Amino acid sequence: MTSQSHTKTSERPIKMRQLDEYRWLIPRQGRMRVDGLVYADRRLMEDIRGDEAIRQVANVACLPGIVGRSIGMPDIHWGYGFAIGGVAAFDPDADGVVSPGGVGYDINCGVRLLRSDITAEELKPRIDGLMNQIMRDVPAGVGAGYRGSGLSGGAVRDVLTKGAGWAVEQGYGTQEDLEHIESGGALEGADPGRVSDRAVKRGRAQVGTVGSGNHFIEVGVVTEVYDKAAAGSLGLQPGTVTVFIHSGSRGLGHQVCTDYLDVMLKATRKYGIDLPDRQLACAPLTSPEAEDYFAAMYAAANYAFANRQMMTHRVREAFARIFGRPWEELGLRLVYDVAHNNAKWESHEVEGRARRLCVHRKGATRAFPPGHPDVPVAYRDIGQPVFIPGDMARYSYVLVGTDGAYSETFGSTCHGAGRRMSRRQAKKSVRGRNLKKEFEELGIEVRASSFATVAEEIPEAYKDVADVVDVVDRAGIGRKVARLKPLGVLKG
Amino acid sequence: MTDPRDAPVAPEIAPEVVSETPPEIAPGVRELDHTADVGIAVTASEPTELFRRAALGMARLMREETGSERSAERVVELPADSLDLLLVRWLAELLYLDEVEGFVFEDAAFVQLGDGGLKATVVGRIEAEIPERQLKGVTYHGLRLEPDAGGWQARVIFDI
Repeated sequence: MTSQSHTKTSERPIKMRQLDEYRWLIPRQGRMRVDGLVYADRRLMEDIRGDEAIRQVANVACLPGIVGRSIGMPDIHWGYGFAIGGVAAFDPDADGVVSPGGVGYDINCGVRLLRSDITAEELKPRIDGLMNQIMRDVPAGVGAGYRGSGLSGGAVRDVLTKGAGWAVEQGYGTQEDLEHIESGGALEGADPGRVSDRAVKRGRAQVGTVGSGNHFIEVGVVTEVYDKAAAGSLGLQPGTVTVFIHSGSRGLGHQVCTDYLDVMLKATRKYGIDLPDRQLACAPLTSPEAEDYFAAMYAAANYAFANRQMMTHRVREAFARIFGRPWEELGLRLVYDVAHNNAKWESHEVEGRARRLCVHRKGATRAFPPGHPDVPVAYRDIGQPVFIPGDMARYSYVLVGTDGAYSETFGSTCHGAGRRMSRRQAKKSVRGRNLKKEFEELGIEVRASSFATVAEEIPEAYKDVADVVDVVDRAGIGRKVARLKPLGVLKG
Repeated sequence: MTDPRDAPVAPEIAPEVVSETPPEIAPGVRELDHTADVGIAVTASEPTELFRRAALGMARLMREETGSERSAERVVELPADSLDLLLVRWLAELLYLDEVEGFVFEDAAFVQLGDGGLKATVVGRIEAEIPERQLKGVTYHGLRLEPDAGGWQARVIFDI
């Protein structure tokens, strides 16, 4: 196929060519150092073209030391600097860079999935009470002792070093949980000394909190299994209850990003890097600025792992209370925990040779294939579990990583449905509607600390995640295992 | 196997182009449309007023209700590289004060604003409740601050 098209933009149009049913090439043009590649079918591309995402994929392709292609996933949409849904890898031996804008403010934001032996029928009479309990036990914004008390600065620094392991040490979970988290729930090389006092202060009262925006806790049910064997390995049976927890590094991570963007703006000038967008501020991977950022960013990543681990504990306790049985008896085991906002050192083959690269995933999920040593032993035969939450009402997917992802996208796949409507548009479209009643009619219990969040997060503000997942499945950069349906949603 | 897309769950609403000018959320401040995040467009007759209005706009993005209590006061001092970067730093500072101290911005009196940096006394209130919308950060993406025919204008996008 050779259809030529241009993205809508106020600046110079970006040339793009459809390669096949699911791949669109942005050939090198202007200051781009490599091609861009976006995964989408024609329908999704209509939405993607409507904003600045394609230009942002092209902008990332201008950064020094980028290798392979600047990649956009089918859930890609306009971000700041990098598009949300962008993947890019940089080679330290080719003046490659690290960019805090390519990781984002919410460092190591991610999703974890719990499975259970509880059936949807058993849950039905208790869902109302369960959602109330979760709402009481898991704070949306800040934990007990808002502003000031909370954890001591020393305890926060412990969290920054040990990640989810800190939470388990405190009794929030088990050793087995740690084996089912990307990187074991703690990134090596984290240095709390490179995290500012301000960031630590922002983190003190927020460990174990959801946050607002698109973060959530979702109680769901397995409605469809596409791969029985893989679903079996993950412990997912049709008709059984699941829990998604989606959150990140909260104010601590946001402050680390803010602090280091400032550092990187200076570094950009110091190293003479020419940027198409200041939010792409970066520093050479071999520079002291990059070294400091990695140490601080990894520390924030560990905070995110600890945050999700603590919420897991509280969710388990809520289930135990409502069902009157210990969570272990309910089979509420952690399936896996994936991150979708980070930059990691990984080994990938590019142009026929293995290279150590810094892979940025901004709203994209690592999706390593079967047999990869970083996939937990229990899942080594099926590939790394990947979770793709949809909107609040429709459905979500469980996938596994593939060889295709490893060879084409630096072992990455999509991360969600992707927005298609601005928040203001969404709020405008709900005027006169009774959202609470709409969700009740769909059989979904919604809890939120602010109704404004729900209005901004209405289902139609997002793309249909089934379309997004079909593209990655058919393009071979992820494989569908199961589909889940929401029964109860807590928004921050 | 059933295709989940066959089951209608919500009315299909095409992403419309919001053509009308968005209403002001604070004097001289309008909310910008952005697919994932939020932004503000600010106009004012002079830079100090622009900084004051941008701060009020950010506060309104976070909390829709318009309290006007002025029971708390802080002094903010920031170095400057350029006026537009200083605007990001100013808003990031106020975001920090909101999150850590619950300080909600209402007004500012500038002692200094320019190449030498910023010094201002900010007044507002201490809020016990977390904001309806928690902003993660003040971005440099699409950042603009420039003089126009009627005075000054700026544009800032926040990560949400």
